This record gives sequence, structure tokens and C-alpha cells, in this order.
Amino acid sequence: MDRSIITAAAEGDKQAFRTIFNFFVPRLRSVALRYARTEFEAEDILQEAFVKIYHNLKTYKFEGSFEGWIKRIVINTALNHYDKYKKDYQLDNIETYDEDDLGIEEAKDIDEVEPSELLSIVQKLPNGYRLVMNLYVLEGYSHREIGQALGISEGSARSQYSKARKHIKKILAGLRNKSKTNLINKDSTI
Amino acid sequence: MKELGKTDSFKDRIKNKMDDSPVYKDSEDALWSKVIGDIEEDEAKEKSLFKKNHPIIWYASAAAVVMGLLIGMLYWKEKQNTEVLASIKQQQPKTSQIIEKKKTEINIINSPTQEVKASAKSDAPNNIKTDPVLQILSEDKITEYDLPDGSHLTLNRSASIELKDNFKKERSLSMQGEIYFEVEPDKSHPFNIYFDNHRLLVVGTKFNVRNIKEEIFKEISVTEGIVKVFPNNQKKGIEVKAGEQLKLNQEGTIESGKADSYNFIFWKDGILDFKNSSMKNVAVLMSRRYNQKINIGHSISRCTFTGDFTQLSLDEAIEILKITTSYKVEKRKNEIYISGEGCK
Repeated sequence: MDRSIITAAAEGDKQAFRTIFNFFVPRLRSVALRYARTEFEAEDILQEAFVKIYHNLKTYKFEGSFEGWIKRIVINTALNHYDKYKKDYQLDNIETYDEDDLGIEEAKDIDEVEPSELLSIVQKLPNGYRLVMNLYVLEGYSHREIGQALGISEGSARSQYSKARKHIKKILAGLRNKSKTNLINKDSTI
Repeated sequence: MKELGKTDSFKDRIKNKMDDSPVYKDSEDALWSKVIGDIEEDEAKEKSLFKKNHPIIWYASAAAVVMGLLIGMLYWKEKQNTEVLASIKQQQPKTSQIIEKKKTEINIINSPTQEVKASAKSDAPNNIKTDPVLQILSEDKITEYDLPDGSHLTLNRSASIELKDNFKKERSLSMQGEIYFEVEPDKSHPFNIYFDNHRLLVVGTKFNVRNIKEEIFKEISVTEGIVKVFPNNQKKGIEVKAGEQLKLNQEGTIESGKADSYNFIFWKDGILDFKNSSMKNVAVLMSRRYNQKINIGHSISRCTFTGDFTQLSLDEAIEILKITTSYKVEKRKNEIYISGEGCK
């Protein structure tokens, strides 16, 4: 992105900001989509984030990539959007789990799903899991950074991720069984 | 190490699969008009605020001057206060011999650490801000302490209380950590406990408060009588009776219900005797007692369990659990997993 465009937008040039908007919205929509549960929520996050971006352009010091700066604002907006996730966390040193989670083989499930399927799996995760999954796997945050971002302990962030992982594996295993039965059904009709 | 490799492979494969390439939609124009609408609204607000606020700005600067004066006065007062405190301290040496003797005596029976200090401590609630404060810390020992009104406290490790000088007149204190209270009945002097953002009011009862910083839920378990809890200092209180437990989180969200409250003070008496206790509570208490991470199957977490774990080691307790319930108990990577058939 041209430096002069950013400077102009920071000084209040709406046309320059539109250029920034047009360029980055499609690139950040994919990010917003995996933090959100629906397309509408992703749209809300983008709207809120771009208003913030406009108001904060003056504070961008041309250090580090502009895209990274914008992306962080979008992610922070998404996190604030789901501030209620905190309630999803448990107390103490015990966890309840679904028995089916254990012993699931590390199969090639992930490789078999389509990217669009994976996105819809992520979108259906409980809020806490989805945020941790996004931050740890896709943004590459450490458990400590996630703890800080979400206002929980490092340990909680870690265990939340491991739960999210189990959850995804379970969904993938479910998908695999489904597709198997589909195949069988198909066979029987032939 | 193997596990680590596994984790990374999951992470990498998800990352590779997730498609972050641009998503183009027809709705971009609509989104733009929403964004620009919000921005223009903000700008309009800002302008009108600036216009209206001209006189307010003037007031604000006047207020700043007044504040400055106030702070100056407070500082002067504070200085006076500390001077008074200092003089009290200077008087202390006269009695110090006796105090020291007493201290060593009490030390043998796990004496709490006492500190008199000027109460500028920031985490003390507002109402205990001005007077000198007595602080009692249990450090790394379970500690018993008698309050001036005859109430008896047992502080779990790393717990602390703070009380004002005039405690006899106004029974109130603030606390951190886990403490079991046996409050001396006195209807004309209600007893207030401040913890986190919450307040707890009693007349004369026995109960356990667990207020651990790192834990999301603050827990009140009542063993005798009734306590009244005011989450986030709200005006409306919640009554918790003997044999019940209340859990509060920061937003004041509440979980309450029957619980084997007496087991929640196992840390004090060493007794862990479950009678139709929920498996979830059994797991919570086992994890605290044995300092052990425990995972419990969802389908059995609401089942009940009866059995006495008092004085048992972890392995013995697991054996009892296995024999009496036919649950599966496994150790994996230093964590314990309890699973089994659900109950109805």
C-alpha cells in the first residue's frame, strides 16, 4: 500500500481511505470469517474494525507491515466482540470431557476435508474454543499471549486449546463416519 | 517429545488447510456505506461536543485547580497520620519483650504473621482505607487465629485477612485465599467480609470462603447457619444455608446448590468422607487434596458417590473408587481420567 495513501487517509481524506478499504476488506474478510460464527457476524466485526482503523490511522508509525497492523485491529475487535467467552471457562484443576474423545486415532481427517468445510467446523466451535484455535494455530500466538489477550491464565489457554483440538477431531471423526455411511447407502442403491 | 510432534502436526495441517485468501463479496459497497456512516457520525459528535464543551472545559480547569488543592490537603493529612503512627511505633519497644515472648510461643502452633501498617494498601476495600490496619498472613502453614470478638478463623496456606483498628465496634474484614470462619454470634454487630468485589454478611455461622486470585469462581460453602452474599456489592443479597454452596464469577454470575460443604473444609480437618456427593465435586476435591489434574467423563459428572477417602493416598483412593463404582480410572501423562457408564 502506497505510503501517501495512508498519510492522506490519516489526514481525513475519505477517498484515500476508500482505497485502503477496497484493498483490505476482501483480505480480512477471510480472517473475520474464522473468528465469527456467521457471515453476518463477520460483517459486523469488519464494520467495527474499519471504523477503528480510520480513527487510529494517525497512530500508525510505518513500522512493521501495514497489513499486520490492520489485521491486529480486526483480531482485537473480534476478541472484544466475544467478550462473553470468559464464561466458557471452567474452574479448578478438573475438566469434564466426552468419553468418545479419547482414543480417537490421529487420522488423515484434516487433509481430507475441504477448506470451506474446515471453516464451517471452526465457525461452529464454542466461542472459547474458536478464539483459542484461531489465535494459537492460525495467528501463531503463544499460550501465554493468548492468556493475556483473553484475560485467562496461561494454563487455561493451554487446556482450552487441547479441548478445542479434541473437539475438532471428534467432529472430523463424525464427518468420516457419515461419509462412510453415505457411501454404503450409495452402494445399496446401485 | 512424541506428543509435541503430534501437536505440531495437527497445528500445521489445520494451518495449511485453512484458506486465508481474499474473499470477494458483492456487499462491499453496503459495508462501506455503513463504515463511512459510523465515521461521519463520530465526527459530528466530536464537533458538537467540542462546541458545547467550551464552558465545560473552563469548569474542568477550575476543577483541576480545586483537585490540586484537595490532593495537597490530603497529602498533608496523610503526613500527619503517618507521624501519629510513627509515634505509636516508638512506644512499642516498652512492651516488645512480652510481645516477642508471646510470638515465639504462638509460633510453635503455627502463628500467623501479624503486621500493623498504615493502610494505604491499594487492594483494601474503600471502607477500610483510613484507619491503621492489622494484617494476618498464613504464609505456607495452615494457621488458626482468634479475632477480638471471639470469632475463630482457620487460614489455609497463603491466605490473608486485613481488619481495621476499630474491629470490635464494626466487625468487618477483607480477605484473600481460603479461610474457614466460625463467627461468634452477636446480632447487634453484624459481621461483614469483603472478598474480590463481593460482600458477605453473617451474624453467627460457620462457613468456608475460597477466594483464590487465579480461580474464576469464588466459592462459599456453608456448614452451619445462614450467610448472605452480595455479589459485586449489589444491594440484593443471596442467602446460602448450611449444606449449600455458592459460586460467583467476576460478572457476578452465580451457581448455587446443595453440596457436601463439610468436605470442602477437608484442608482443615483432613476429613474427606463422601455421602452421595456428585462425582464432579469428588473430582474437584480430589484434585485439591492430591494436587492432581483430574479429567472426569461428562456422562458421570452428575452421578453420586459414597466413600471415605480420609487418610487415603491417591492410589488408595483410586482403588476405592474403582471397586465401589466400576468406573474406569486411568493415568495418562500425569493426568487422571475417570470415565464410565452414566447413571440415571
